[in-house]
Amino acid sequence: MKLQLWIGLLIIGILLGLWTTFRVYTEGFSLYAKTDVLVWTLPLSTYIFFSLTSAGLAFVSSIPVVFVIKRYEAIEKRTVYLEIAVLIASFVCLILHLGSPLKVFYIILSPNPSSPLWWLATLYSLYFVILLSAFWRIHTGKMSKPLGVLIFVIAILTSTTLGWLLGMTDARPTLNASFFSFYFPLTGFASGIAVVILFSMVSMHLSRQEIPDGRSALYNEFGRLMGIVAGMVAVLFLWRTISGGISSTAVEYGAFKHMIGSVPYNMEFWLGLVVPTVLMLIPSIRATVWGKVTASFLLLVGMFAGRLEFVLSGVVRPLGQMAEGRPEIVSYMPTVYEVFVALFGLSVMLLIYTIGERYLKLETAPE
Amino acid sequence: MPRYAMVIDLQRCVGCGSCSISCRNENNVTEGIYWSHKITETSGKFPNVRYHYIPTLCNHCTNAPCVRGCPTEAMHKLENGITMHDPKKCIGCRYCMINCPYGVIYFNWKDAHPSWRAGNSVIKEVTASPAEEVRKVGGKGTPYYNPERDATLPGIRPKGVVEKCTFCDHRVKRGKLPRCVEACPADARIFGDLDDPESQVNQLLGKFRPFRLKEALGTEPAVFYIRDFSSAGYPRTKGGI
Amino acid sequence: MKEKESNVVTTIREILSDAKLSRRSFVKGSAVTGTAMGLGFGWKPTLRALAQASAPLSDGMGEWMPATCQGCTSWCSKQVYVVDGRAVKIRGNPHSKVNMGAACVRSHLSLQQVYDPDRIKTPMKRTNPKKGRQEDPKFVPISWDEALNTIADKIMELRKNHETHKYMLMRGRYSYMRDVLYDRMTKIIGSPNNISHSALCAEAEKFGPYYTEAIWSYRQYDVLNAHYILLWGADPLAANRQVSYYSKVWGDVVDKATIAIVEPRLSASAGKADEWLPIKPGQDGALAVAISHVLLTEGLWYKPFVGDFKDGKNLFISGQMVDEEAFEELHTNGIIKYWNLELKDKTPEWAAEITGIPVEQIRRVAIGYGKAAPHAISWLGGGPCMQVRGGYSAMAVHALNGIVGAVDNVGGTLKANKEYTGKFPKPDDFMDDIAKKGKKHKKIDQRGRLQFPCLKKGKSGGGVITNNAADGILKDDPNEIKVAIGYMNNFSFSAPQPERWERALSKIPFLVHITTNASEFSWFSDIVLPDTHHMFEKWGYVKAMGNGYRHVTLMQPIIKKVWDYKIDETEIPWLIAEKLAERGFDNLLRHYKTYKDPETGKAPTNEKEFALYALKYVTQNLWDPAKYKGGDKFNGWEEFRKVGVWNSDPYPFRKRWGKMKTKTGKFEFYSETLKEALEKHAKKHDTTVDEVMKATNYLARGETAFIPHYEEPFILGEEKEFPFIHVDHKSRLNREGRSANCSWYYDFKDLDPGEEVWDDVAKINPIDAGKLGIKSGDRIKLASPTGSLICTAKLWEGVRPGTVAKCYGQGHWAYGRLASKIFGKVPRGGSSNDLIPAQYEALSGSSAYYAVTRIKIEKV
Repeated sequence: MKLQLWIGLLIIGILLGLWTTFRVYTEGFSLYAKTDVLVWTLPLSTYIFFSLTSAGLAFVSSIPVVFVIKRYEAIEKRTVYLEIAVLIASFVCLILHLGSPLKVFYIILSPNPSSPLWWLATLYSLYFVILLSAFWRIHTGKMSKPLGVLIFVIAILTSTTLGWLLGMTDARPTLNASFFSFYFPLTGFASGIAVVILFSMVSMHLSRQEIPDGRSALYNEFGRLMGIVAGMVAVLFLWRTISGGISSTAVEYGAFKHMIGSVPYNMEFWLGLVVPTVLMLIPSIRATVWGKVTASFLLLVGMFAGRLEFVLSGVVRPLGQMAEGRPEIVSYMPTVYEVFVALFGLSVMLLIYTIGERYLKLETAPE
Repeated sequence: MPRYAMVIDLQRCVGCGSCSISCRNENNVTEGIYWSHKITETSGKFPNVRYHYIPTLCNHCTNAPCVRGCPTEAMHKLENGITMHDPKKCIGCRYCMINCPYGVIYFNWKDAHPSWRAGNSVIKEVTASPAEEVRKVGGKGTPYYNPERDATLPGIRPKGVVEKCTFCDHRVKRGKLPRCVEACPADARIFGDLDDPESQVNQLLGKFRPFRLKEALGTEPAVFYIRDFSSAGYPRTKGGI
Repeated sequence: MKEKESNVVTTIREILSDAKLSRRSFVKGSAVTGTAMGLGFGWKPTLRALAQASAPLSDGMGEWMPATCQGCTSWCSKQVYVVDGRAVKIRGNPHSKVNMGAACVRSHLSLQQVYDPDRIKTPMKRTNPKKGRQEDPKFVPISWDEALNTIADKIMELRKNHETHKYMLMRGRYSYMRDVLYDRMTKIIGSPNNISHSALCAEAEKFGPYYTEAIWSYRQYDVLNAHYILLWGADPLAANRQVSYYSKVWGDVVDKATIAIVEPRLSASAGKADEWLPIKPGQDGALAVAISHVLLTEGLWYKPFVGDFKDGKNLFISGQMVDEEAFEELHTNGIIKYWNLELKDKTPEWAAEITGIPVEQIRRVAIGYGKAAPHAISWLGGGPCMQVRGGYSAMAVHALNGIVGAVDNVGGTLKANKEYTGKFPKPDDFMDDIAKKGKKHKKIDQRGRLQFPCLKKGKSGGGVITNNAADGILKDDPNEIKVAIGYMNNFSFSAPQPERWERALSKIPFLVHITTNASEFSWFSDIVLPDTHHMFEKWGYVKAMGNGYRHVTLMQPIIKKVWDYKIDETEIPWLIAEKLAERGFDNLLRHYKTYKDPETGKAPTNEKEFALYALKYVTQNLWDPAKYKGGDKFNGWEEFRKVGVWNSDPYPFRKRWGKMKTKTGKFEFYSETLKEALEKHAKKHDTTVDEVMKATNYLARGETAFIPHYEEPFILGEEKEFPFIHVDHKSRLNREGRSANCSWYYDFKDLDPGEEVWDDVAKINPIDAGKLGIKSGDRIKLASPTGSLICTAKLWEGVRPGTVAKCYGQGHWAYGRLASKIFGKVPRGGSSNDLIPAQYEALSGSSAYYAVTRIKIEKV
């Protein structure tokens, strides 16, 4: 009964998404917070959120193969499956960001290797195929080492390429290359762990399973790892704030300065980084299920906001002739359709996961 | 192959915007999109105030960041230096808009010329609807649709792709000046070949100290500016303490 | 392989791409940009050749056809690019020596005018007999036949009842074909009431030059040879006149000349000027006399024109009278009287306080201006003179040209060159007794009455006082109006205090409007007739001057007419004449039949022939080699028609020195011409000039009435209640009031300094706004003692504190879907005329637009 309600909710989310898709491709992107200044908004930031989370999951899933840590194998199947689900969610959001998604064929027909976006598209296609085969391998037997390594490498490449993508824009130094190439994999990793913890805990809670002792220790270890990474990221985040947001005199950083006071910024910093770090570094809280669930949930919420924050800090300050007749900083509030896109991605991901959880025995560890 | 460039003489410029409206007209550009535009500023405090105007358009950068970032080469350079866009290949990712330091690339958020699509009339049977007017006149998108634009780019761009100034490549190809150059009543725009040492463009670039927008970024724009919009004189002074 | 791919792509594209995007264009598109598939690695973007397109290039799809733009009164000669009978783009006609191939920005908006979907496509009549702003006329379409029959019936009724003077013709934007409808038809029907819009336009501006050098017209300025240009409320780079020409040469003009501009608002021209003198509204006269004072005390008057003191010593010393005998005047009259009566005490110190312009700036400008003599232009715009007491400011400003010898001089102010168009046949033989009797009645605008001298060309009641016609109609004074026709006018929008027109028009029992769009005037009409657009669909011609030339430029039907429009000034009167003839009154038709084709000698047989023959008839001297008199020479009508413009001979400089048409033949500082006109007017009313001054709201008494002088401005409203002075101005995108239904108007509105796109803003100095707690973007209400409007606040440094600048053009409540917010009901933005009271510069009959009212600002 509860499951039916849950699936019903997800289907509603998906229907809203499909309706948005229909409207967007018939009426146009004017349904979004359309201006030629706010070029990239919530649909894109949600895509980035999912794709980095997927990369983070890839790091987690490749730990047993790449670093040969046997005990991590226990969660490998669920992790790889989550990667697929999250990656599909990211594709959903990306498609609804692109003006003419069917023309992505031109990425093959008319490639431009000087474009990070081209690399990203190529890598993601590859990634998706490899993930599917990896899952198939796990589902039917054991994870192959080469595939695991490949996943790890691609995860590094996608998450850093995203940094390159944004960093290439000399016109918008707020999207700082050297920073994000580092920041993205790290935050992605944190999100990946958070997803693993959150989904494992909730799944087990829902299926009223007792957590086996060995697993419990493993999740505590993940919790600590997540805390450490979140803490590191928090420090990086502060440096970014200080160097770009406070001490920089470049006018372009006005956009970021503006974002520092914003809701997404503070959500990312406090909910996504500070609170999870604190929660996970206190052993007594870390040991509890609610502690881990809260920390990982908050981290994901914070990261979701954070992706929006940095996308906006790149675009809210109009450049060149776009600034004509506009305020120095353009304000942004997502439209209901943009929210539906994010919801669409999330519902798709959760539905895929729910199906997997029910039919694909995600608990099983490879032999 | 020539390498095209434009010199804009700000002293000649009167800030009238004929460039921008005639560009709209020539290229059938939809409402809200400005292939040709401006950056203005009112400087000073009353009564010491002046108004400044810099016409802007795609700079057709030699090192075009929009071209570099485009995943499908929809945005590309022509041999004559023009930064061209092919909407057929454009996936609508808007990365070029993120990359362009000058804000000259626009996205077609919806079908072009929406106001001309309306089907209602203000006085029944006495006035036409915009859609009926377009049909009856025989235009396309707008009644004053310019079919010549269609030679190298869809006459009207579909929704979901970006668009921007093409230096009127369709005219240049036929040996005609870009429309903004032709239409400028002040003759403030001078168009020509950078590779021809005798071109008017080079004559002016040799005579004045030109500047380009955001030169520090290294994009190497092909649009140069000379002289000042407000070349006012003022009483000689050494200031004072 | 490649072919296969492109098929796949084609399929995808077909599914996806806009249904309207034709298959042809994208197939061709793929050919044009046919791709190289190679994975060219490397960071430099690969240069791509634009592959040769397989489809033929669309070269020369259209043709440039000659046309005339009447978007403002520059009246430039243009060319229209016509493709398959469709107007596609606009450029300047390179054959014109006046606008020299230049086209200003507003000309392009004509495309959106001619194809405005809200143009009426057929005649219509109102079915709601009740008239008023709140009454929907409930227009329904009717045939031309029904419309013309009704009009003819109404005119015949007047004729039958011997009350033809109750017929009225109101003229708006016109060509020189105007006399067919405006003059001949009105006269032959038998009415004195042909009322032009001219006094809404610039009559006071003509007052200055007329009563100094006897030219009742705009001037042209030899800017390329000027060394100093002092602009007074004129904005040649944005508004009226010869915007195209001045835009073309201004970059060279500023190289050579110092530009100073007197204007309370930082106009487009002020943005490029050396000196901005943001004067307090209405105080232009004070500045002009103070500059004159400096010119004389500093000895900077131009001696070869004005003359000199007999002993060569400058006796112009502040505050001291000068003996007239001591000065030997050359080509001017009354410089000493001017000094003694007005200038001697008008020091820069005196003016600084009144005008708000610092003493140093006044002196600096005056000396700069004087040193540039005689190549020093004092450029009189509408600003200083379209004021209640603006007549004498107009004189004072124009008199500066006299002092520095710029009149008729190189680098100075010039009149129009000679042109040789003819006149239409005289109507007298076709006016029957009813007509002659009817014509003798007084005009409805009450011109010539004591308080309305309207001294056009020296004649009492010689000019129109357009806006007062509303009061004439409302009060049935001198008589009631029963049948009226208006064409290309919109007095209930374009005249100050338009609410009076709303009532007046509602009162007229039968009103016809000839118009392109259902405007605020049409709203009160019984029958509305669809007019052609002047630039693309009409036969006609206008004359304009600039650059030391005059041109006569043709209007021609050059595009496919989309709907059933007819030409206002020729076709429609012909059709009415036919209907009148059917009813037994054929005088008008017989008269029109005398407009014969000069080439064939044939009389017109229908309205289309009439329109063409009438034009050929009046322009014959220009195109018929046998009648050649000067200027450009053509071998016949066809050649003239193709070129589209005739240019005069170059300007003959200094030919008028000593031979002006003033009473003295000289440039008059002491205007004997004005003296005579005023005295005649006083005599007509059996009174004195002082009484005339009093009646016309002027303060001058005695001799001062005959010289340029400063008058304290007459501004409505108490400062306490209405703290700001309203500053009205024009937009470079205005096509008079008619571009407000064009989307480009709104998308490019910020081409006017300080303006915003898709908004109608009142520009307020931040100091004032701060005191009121108003921010940019706030909705505000501006209210004057006679009306109010709602718009958006814009804080801007380019306005003088204590004033609010508001652009004219928006605020339509009809006219079209964009012009109004809700057609017939809610205006978009606010019209300045709702603030401006119906006040007059009565000596010329002009409506006062500037420094005429105070306003207050309230947040909404």
